[in-house]
Amino acid sequence: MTPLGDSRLPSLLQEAAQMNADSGMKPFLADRIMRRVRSIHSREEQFFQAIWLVFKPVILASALFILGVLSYNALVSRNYEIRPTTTEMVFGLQPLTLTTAYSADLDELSSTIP
Amino acid sequence: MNPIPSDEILLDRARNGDQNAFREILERHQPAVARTVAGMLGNPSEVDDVVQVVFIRFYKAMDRFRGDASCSTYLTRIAINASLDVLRRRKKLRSRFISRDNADKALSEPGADDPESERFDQIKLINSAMNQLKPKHRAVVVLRLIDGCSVIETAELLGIAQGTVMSRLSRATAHLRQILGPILEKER
Repeated sequence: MTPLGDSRLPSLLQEAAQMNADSGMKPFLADRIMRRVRSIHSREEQFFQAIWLVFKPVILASALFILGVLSYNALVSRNYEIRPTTTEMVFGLQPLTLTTAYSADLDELSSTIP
Repeated sequence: MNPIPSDEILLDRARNGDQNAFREILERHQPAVARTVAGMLGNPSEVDDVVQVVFIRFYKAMDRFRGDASCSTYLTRIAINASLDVLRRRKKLRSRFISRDNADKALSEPGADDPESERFDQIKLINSAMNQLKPKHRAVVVLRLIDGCSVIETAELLGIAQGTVMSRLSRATAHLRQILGPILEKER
């Protein structure tokens, strides 16, 4: 039961909508939509390719710079009296010894203790 | 013989880049989407474009669609929103360029005597009557009377209360009955 009390209005509206749909649809709709879908894909691919092209030199330069820093750290750390671990060597950290531990600034430390 | 895959299976495949799966969804739901859009717009000339927009939006939103509603419900929602966008644009254009009263008079003029022409005039009158409804009323009429959604489904699709659906439907059908009275009497 419809608000009109019978099914005439819905059936008329359905018929009108169907006729509008049938007369409004042009042929090969699915093909046209699929072509647009593919163009979205290719646009995305183009975008990522453009980004890769822009950032490729930056990535290469950064990688070379990081490699250079690591090699420099490794070379410099050979001169330390105490042989550092690989991590310390690569990141250029001073090996922790009793001497370095005792040389901490005690005045500075005491000011942080309440 | 392979069983027909469900929408969920096709969606999964489409999300993984299977364009044939998306095409199958498209072909499966295209008639219903076209009918919804045609009902909303009441103008065949824009139906094709809007249906394309609906499926392109669906394709772009596919990854965000998590299956909390059925595929057809989701597509209907997109179809209603895309049609409302067009109606808003049309309203702006109409207020600038066209006198609505004159357009409606032209549409409701009686046609020739043959039944085919009479039917065509009826459809034009129905379109004209639908075009006079406010877009929010039209959406309720399309979902309830053309798509056959329940009050609950219509309320969920439009994001409004069930009471609002019923009041809008009542107002809209009263208006349609007023304009389409002669046709409805003839159909009796």
